[in-house]
Amino acid sequence: MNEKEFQKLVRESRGIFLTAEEKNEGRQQLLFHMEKNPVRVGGFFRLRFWRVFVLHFNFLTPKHMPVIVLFIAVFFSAGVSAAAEASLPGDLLYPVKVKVNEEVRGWFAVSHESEAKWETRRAERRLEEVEELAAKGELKADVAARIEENFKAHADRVEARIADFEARDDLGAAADAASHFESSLNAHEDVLVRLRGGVNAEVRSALKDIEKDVDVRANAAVEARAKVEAKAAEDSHDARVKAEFQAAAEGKFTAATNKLDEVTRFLEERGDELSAKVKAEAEVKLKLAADAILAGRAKLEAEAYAEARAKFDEAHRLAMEAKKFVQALLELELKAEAEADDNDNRPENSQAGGQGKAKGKLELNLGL
Amino acid sequence: MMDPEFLQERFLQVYNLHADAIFRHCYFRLHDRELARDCMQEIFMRTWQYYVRNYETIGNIRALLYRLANNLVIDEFRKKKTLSLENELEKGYQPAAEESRIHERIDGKAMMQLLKKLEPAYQEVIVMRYIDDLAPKEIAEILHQDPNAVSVRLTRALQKLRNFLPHE
Repeated sequence: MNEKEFQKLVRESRGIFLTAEEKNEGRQQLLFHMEKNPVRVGGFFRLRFWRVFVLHFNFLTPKHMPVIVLFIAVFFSAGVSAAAEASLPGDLLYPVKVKVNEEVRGWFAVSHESEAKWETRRAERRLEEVEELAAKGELKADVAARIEENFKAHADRVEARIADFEARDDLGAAADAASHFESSLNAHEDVLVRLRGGVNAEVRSALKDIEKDVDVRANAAVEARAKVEAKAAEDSHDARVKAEFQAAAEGKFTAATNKLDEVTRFLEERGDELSAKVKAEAEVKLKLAADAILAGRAKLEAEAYAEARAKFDEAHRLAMEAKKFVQALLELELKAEAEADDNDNRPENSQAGGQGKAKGKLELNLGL
Repeated sequence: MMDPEFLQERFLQVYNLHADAIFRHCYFRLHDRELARDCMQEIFMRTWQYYVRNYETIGNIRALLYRLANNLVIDEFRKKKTLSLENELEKGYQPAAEESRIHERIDGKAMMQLLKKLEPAYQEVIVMRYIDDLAPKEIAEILHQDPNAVSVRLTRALQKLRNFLPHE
């Protein structure tokens, strides 16, 4: 056999790739498919089982916790892991959620960038817990303080990671991490503001400190991002790195356009579940995102690549904020409905925390 | 069950890492770019559905992707939807973009013509070994076959290829 000829064909065949456009299109289709076939947390039966377990073993005190957690983790890990995901501070399985699930999950972060993303997600999960408790009217000052402490720990780690990227001159990673953190915080700030209007004085007071902290962190993320973007703009004039900046800006353009399309479709699909007001708020963000993309394209054409990238990041951030904001509200509403179904046969709850008093039903006033 | 958003993000990383390779595999087996793209897409969508239920037990997701690819390609053969290279050349096939046109004009056709001359069972192992760069042991895992049987099949496939390559 002419080995040389064959090896040449092999080498050349390995050079067959999808075009960037084809790959992005495939990614979009996959995202759409994943939205249509989402991950469902645990299994209804297993969740029910663990709720019953908790109800009947509520004599167990916090001092029993380490032994219980170990016992459960060793013998019942799959079901426990699933049920723990839905737990809130004060629930028996909450330590499993935070100390087992989240820690194990962190092991799978394969890069510093994914570590930063995961810590952002952990910070978000604390805010989601606050939102859920507040929406139910069950947020107490001591619980809020504990959640806030955990939120601060995650936020500190994200900020440390951003600073680390900057110190290593990895401005792209720094900008991405700061942008992602900023959009998460902004979305939850909007949800907290919305919740504040519908809760009682006790819950409102419990929310105050965490709201302030979220605001401070969001502003810090804005500053970090702006600083990195300014530095990148300076560096981008260096001819040696111009091509790199151009490629990064073009990549961000594709990512921003894809994100905008994805969120637009998401709003179209879930539009019926939203009030005109919430939908309008989300659409304002999407309009701003579209404007940012246009502005970014102008910068791209003018070869101002760092500024173009910053605009596309802004578009991506706004689209993500819109989606996270709507998702958070829908999730709270869904959980309230599930809770109401469970409570159907119980006596009516007293009026608290924005909960309406219908026969055996909890109703949230989230303006959906 | 882990955080849904994490699973989604992780799976998109899998797509970013493996989409090109899986597409390339389908392309050289099906000899049709658009069909290969559809096949690739179907593979990732089905893998997602498997992934959400079994992420804890999936040891080697790359092997899983190739296994699905192999099954889908075989399905396509059975449906007889694969066009012959001659048919493609007659209708003047047009890849999506200039970059891919350049690659395929110089490279893909020559290898495809060669592969078309082999039986599907030999095409399968040649594509996996030389285009996908999988080791015989990995191929065996994907095909649920004995590694020795795979090695024997590879040797025979190469012997067949010998007849079709020009000698120096």
